Amino acid sequence: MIFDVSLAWDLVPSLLEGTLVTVMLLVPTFVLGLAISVPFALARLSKRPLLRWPVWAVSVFLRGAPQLVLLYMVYNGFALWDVVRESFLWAFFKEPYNCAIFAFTINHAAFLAEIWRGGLAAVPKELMEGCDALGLPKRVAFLKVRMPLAFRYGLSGYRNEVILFVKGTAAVSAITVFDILAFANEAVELTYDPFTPLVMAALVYWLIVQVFQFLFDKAERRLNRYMKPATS
Amino acid sequence: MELLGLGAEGYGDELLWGFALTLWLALASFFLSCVVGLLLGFVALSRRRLARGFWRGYRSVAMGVPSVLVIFFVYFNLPYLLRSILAVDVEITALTAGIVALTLVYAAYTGEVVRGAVSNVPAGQFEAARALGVGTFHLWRLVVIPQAFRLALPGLTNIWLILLKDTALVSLVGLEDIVRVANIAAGTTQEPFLFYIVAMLAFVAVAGLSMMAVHKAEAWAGRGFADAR
Repeated sequence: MIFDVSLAWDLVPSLLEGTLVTVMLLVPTFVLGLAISVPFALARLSKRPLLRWPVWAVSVFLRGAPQLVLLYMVYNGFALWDVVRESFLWAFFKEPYNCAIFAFTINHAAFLAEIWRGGLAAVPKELMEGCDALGLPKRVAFLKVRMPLAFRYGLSGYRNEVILFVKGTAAVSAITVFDILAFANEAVELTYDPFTPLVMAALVYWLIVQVFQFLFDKAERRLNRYMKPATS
Repeated sequence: MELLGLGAEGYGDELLWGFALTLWLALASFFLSCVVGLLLGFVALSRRRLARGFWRGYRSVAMGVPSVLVIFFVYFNLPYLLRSILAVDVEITALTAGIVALTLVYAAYTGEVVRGAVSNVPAGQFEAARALGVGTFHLWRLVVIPQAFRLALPGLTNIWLILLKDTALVSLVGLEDIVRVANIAAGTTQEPFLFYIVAMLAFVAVAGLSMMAVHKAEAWAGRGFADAR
């Protein structure tokens, strides 16, 4: 249980490689998740029960089940399913990395959809009536008034989800993707030092989380700049 | 369907045991993190700078490091720690490591909720109780805690739902919980969808039942507010 500085130094290259893998998991998932979450949220708010209810059921599963089970489901389920194996989908699902992206994206999108849904519902009705009264076309009122406000209402929820999600990616080594934690665990097995590699990995995750906290702090300040107290 | 039977051919009994283990792990960790979180909440509200500094450091680490990593760390290091500090040789099971790790992580979250709830009880409540000559013990027990509990409920519910899902990660250090059992069964029977869906359903069902219980608890905790709305 002593921090071995020379071992820590030796671990830096492999931890950087792991960090690259983690970042390569985060970037596509954030982009795809964000893109899918908007139609997902709109479907959750739809007036048609035939659209609303199935999407609700899928959402409950995606949010209620542990990410680990979703990862297993895609990696051991989809990827070994005959229907997938014998179709063009196999080219995608044969890579554990792609399975992880797929599982993480649908999970992340379901949470984001819930956040946007809450944000969209929180926009005051009077404001939308005001848009009608001014004769703004529905589409403009939605894109220029309702969406930006919903995003701002949802920002703190988005922040929480992103931070939770970054930490959640550490489960990915369960399906043989070599991320930061996987490299650290490998070092534990090779060196019989259970302390130093895991502390180093913890430090890397902590730094990544701090970067996101910093970015969200900046975004919040920028989006809420109109709320500065008038007296100061 | 016979794969889910209770006998030797089916995985029903193993799944049920795994489910019981998952529930036990989740409940024990949640209870302990509430206890530790209560203490941490008061550390966070302390006027001493050292105490607040400790709280900020603890919160930053516990909220900035993945739970899986903490689980691995505790599982690998707790035996050494116990041997070097207490000079006892104890075997740390995956269950113990899981409870300790999840408590360490989620105590920070419950501590934050407790801090927020207590500081959101209006100052007038403290002043009024003091003016009426209520002692410190009764001030907390009869005035502050019941009100803080109402404010803390939504936050605690969120923590419970996230913690419940995080128990799945303890299967990675070998705990035979429902996730591990489902994974093994999926591998040996070549029926992955069946077993993973059963595991998912178990988690979704517990979450759903918890939400129903919380609605009841919220109605109870907010009983004094029913007329004011």
